[in-house]
Amino acid sequence: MKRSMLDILACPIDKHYPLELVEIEAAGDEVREGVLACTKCGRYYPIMEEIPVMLPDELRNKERDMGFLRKWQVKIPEKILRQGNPWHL
Amino acid sequence: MYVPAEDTLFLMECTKQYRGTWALEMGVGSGAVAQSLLSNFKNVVGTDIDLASLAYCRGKEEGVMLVCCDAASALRGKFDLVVANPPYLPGDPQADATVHGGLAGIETTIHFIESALPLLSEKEGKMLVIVSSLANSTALDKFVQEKKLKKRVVGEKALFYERLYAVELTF
Repeated sequence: MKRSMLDILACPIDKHYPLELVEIEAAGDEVREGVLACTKCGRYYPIMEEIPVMLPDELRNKERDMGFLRKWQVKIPEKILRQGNPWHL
Repeated sequence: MYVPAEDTLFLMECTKQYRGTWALEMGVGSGAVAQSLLSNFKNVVGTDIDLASLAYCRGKEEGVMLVCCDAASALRGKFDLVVANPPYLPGDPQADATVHGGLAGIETTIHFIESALPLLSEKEGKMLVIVSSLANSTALDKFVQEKKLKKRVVGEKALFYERLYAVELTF
């Protein structure tokens, strides 16, 4: 996603804005891999291959989320890794 | 992923008369409509609940901002045009969510509209939704009345066994 998209994204669960952006891999103004975090409800949303994945809990893929956290654990803040909702390492 | 069909082309045709700065398509599927919106809108956002559809769009589209979310649930801001061609055949979305829109066929459509209402700019915002004669539209009419929306049919297309309507909604 383009960095400027932060202006139009809100937490799908509690509508909190702005979301925190953790950049893992970026090229120009495009974030390829990263995390969007809601400071209100503690949920995190992965940005995978440029696409922010902001699904409600019941449609999230736990295995995919956990794999993502494990893959990038050195680049993701501890708070998200250990306390992020709906699940964490 | 929903493969472009006659309803996709019909929606694409109907969006041509609109212009503005921000446009949103909910449920982009293969991305054909969102891509065509780029000719008349400076910024185009496309959502889909299916990550695989978006991965397909990403490969061929420069310029459409993609978000994997339900309807418009992860978005904020104001849009000049919101379009959707929701799954509208009566049936259980769990069987095939790309074509079934709920038991009356209209539930997903109403969910989409409700989700995007806060994003519609009050003065000039317009929503364009495809509704089929196969779906029971009584619930939609009730919803439109409750929300005090203005409804206008701006396009109509007869297919082999159904009739499609392009319904424009405004405040």
